[in-house]
Amino acid sequence: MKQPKNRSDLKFQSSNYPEPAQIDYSDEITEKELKTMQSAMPQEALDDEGVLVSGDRW
Amino acid sequence: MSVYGLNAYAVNTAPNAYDIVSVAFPYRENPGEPGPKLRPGLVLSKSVHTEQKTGAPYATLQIAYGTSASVKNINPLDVFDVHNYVALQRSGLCSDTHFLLNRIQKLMWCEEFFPIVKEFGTPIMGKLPHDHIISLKKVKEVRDSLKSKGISW
Repeated sequence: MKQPKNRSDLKFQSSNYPEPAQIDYSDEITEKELKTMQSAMPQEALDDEGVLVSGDRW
Repeated sequence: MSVYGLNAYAVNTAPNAYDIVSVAFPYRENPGEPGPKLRPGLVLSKSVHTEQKTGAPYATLQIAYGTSASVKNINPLDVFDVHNYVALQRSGLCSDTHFLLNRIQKLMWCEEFFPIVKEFGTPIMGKLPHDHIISLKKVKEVRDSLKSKGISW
């Protein structure tokens, strides 16, 4: 009877995902953190709408 | 290339809409500065600009942040989930992720906000599968329709 390959011979496709430790999914995002990010953006760049080249404005 | 004091990446390296990117999120103790803590972000749109003084081109992205934290109390129109295996693989995500559509930010495509992920050689981690893109566009249509009628949710 034909048998499946040995489990130890199987080669699964390796994943190149970053380790979960490197990308953080865990915490709820706070308003304070969002404000911090936005304050690091130059006001001139925030004010300039620019030319939309991909997607839709939300 | 310095644009408004930030290290802007070349425009042709920027992600397109519906790509997943890693975003440098600040630590609470470093207000005003993007930090080394990386989060997944979903690109909703990309715009191209020129710096007023120098004419240097740069790109900005509208980003919805991803979290695996519970989103039980959020309206379905304010969250977009990526959770099946194929979608996660295409997106470069390693955990079920909820992208928050009620907390969208515009960020410059620059080193400070989007550090390169070593494994990928770029901050771009992957792309939403086509069926997810269609679902997201439907969510936007409903949101826009409600907004145009002055209905909040």
